[in-house]
Amino acid sequence: MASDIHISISAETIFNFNGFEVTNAMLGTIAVCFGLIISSVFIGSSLNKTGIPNKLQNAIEWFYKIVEGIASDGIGSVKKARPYLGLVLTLFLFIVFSSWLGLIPGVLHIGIQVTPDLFYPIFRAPTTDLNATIALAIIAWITIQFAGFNALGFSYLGKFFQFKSGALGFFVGVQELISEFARLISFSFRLFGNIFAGEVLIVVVASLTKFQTNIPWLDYFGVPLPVFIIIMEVLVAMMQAYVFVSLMSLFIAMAVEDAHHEHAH
Amino acid sequence: MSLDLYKQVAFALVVGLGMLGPAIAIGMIGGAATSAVGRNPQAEAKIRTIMILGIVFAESLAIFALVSGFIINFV
Repeated sequence: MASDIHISISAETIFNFNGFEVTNAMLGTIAVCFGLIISSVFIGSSLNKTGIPNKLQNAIEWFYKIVEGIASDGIGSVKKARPYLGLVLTLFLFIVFSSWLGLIPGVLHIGIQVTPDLFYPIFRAPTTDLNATIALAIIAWITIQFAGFNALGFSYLGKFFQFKSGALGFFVGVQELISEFARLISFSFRLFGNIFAGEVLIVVVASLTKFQTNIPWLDYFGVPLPVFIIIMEVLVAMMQAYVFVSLMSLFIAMAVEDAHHEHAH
Repeated sequence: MSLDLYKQVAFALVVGLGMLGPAIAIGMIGGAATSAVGRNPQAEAKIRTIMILGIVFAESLAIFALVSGFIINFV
């Protein structure tokens, strides 16, 4: 009964382009980026710079203020958060919309029937593929290191290799270096785990709620139940984007602050 | 006992035992945050930010256990 669902952690290859395998998560990324670019070009060309904004522009300005608030809460002030705001907004929008891609009803049913019991959807939410979340984590990590080097120069490396505070200071520096690299795994696995587990939960609940009674109309009585799970996953996607952006801002603030005697553990 | 059965039992054990610690941790963080807000209602926004940060770190360990379980069962 429940063993005819097909869950695969890795994204399935849709076609081969001279040896480069294009997976359905890549097609999902292209779809999300296409949608974001097209909508931002349309909305940007109709912005009202003076006068009363209309409803759509009002909503977008409200959203911008929220994300600016998240970044400035982490980094410290709106002025300090300004250089990173473009990346922060882009990451937030990309994570939210690419996690929502798998929740739109019907999107996961467009696909190729490879064998009679193996179905490859042609679009897959990019954040359910570990490759995409590792890429996002690398982008965030490089931004954090760049912020540290930009603010402190080469003495940023002095945080990790401390030779002036004795043996204990040296080991604290080593532990800080290890936790820098652990952030890569933490960022990527947190996002991947939340969104992928959400999709698996939807599939499992959907496969469990089809009854096998003798009354035909009662069979489909449980079909609306996954809707509640889908609503929960919509909120989880927004929360994961908030957490990703907030943590990135916090780590940028920690990387930018002065040397170790000011660092509060 | 087939390999599939072992895999499923391992999945269940990893997920079940791996969720115990983070569940207790998140409960304690929430309780500490609540009593901190009770003592100082003006600092609610700052305490909420710190609480969410702490909960996220604890929850990510639970997610690691879940993903390990998935890898054990399906890979």
